[in-house]
Amino acid sequence: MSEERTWQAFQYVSGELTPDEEQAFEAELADDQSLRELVADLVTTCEAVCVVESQTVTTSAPPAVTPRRGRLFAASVAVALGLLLAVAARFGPHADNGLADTNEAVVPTPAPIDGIAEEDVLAMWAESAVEQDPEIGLDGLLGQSVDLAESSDEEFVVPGWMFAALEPERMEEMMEEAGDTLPETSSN
Amino acid sequence: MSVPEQSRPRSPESGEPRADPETPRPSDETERLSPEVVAALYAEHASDLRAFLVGVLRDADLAGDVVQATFVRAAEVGHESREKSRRGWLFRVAYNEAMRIKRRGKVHQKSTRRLAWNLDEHDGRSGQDNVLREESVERVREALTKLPDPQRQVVRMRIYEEKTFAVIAEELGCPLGTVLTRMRLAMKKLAGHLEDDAAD
Repeated sequence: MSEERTWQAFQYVSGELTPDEEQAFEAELADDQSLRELVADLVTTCEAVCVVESQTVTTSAPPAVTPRRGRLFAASVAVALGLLLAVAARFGPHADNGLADTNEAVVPTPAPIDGIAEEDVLAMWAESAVEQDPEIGLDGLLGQSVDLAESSDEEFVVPGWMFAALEPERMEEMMEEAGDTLPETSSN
Repeated sequence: MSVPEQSRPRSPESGEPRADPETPRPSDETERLSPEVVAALYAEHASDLRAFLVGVLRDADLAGDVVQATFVRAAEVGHESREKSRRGWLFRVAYNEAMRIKRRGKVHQKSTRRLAWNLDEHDGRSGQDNVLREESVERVREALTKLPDPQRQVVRMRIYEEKTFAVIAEELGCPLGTVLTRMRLAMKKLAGHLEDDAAD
């Protein structure tokens, strides 16, 4: 089969012929068995190309991080770090909040799990994140502004109302106390 | 006196000349192709027929329906075709049915714009079809490795990524003519490779 014929058949199966050209091509298909065979071969070839290329994509290295995906991941990390900062500022040893005066309970920092220190957990988390997105370096994740590892030897101060939430009787007492101080809602 | 082939009445479905009407004919039951013969024809030709019909209809579901209809016709009137030209007869019956569907407008404009090979994973292939497909995949894989990188890149972008030639040219920073030439050369080599294998 000539190159011109093959090209025309490819254009036919890929829908690139004009309606007139397509009609003329189909008129030839009515009587030309070799042309029908060529159409079948080209479709088979194109299907096979799709299979080969899809396998190539799935067996090759992980796809490159697109700028959009990288930005999304960086934003997620920033939000997570922001939350950590907020929690540390709120409940950390230097926190200045009114709740600490009401009912404080001092609990020690949880012991390392199975011998894994907090610093190690933080480092592992950061490394896994960097593995997912190499564009974000360790420096970006473990910036100097947030160094939770420093506080590992210090004690967290947990406000009493958090424990009260776990004890129904105590919670009721606190709600009654709060009810005395809160202004009554007006009813229409 | 024998009747010239051109003057014999032709089957409306296949276009094949009917047997001489003056010749005494045995009953249909004894003349029809046996189920075993039809099954053998199906095993041998259904996959290629389906590919041909996907090229014409650009719809895998419709192509599957027409393949079934073609073999129903083969069971009914396939005996009117000559054994040596039975493959061509099947293709012609399939073509006529596909054109009938196209004329009825069952193939919507939207589907005709789709690429012919854009098949769903569940397109009703038989196990044997899949075996044939694997053979084709291996042949094409080998042929692709022999293509120069620029040609393979265009093939991948056009066929697998389904990008238009204009978009490919823009993304590669090449003139449209260069992209078309690469695709044309690549298709010639891929089709030639299949022809060589078929001849072996």
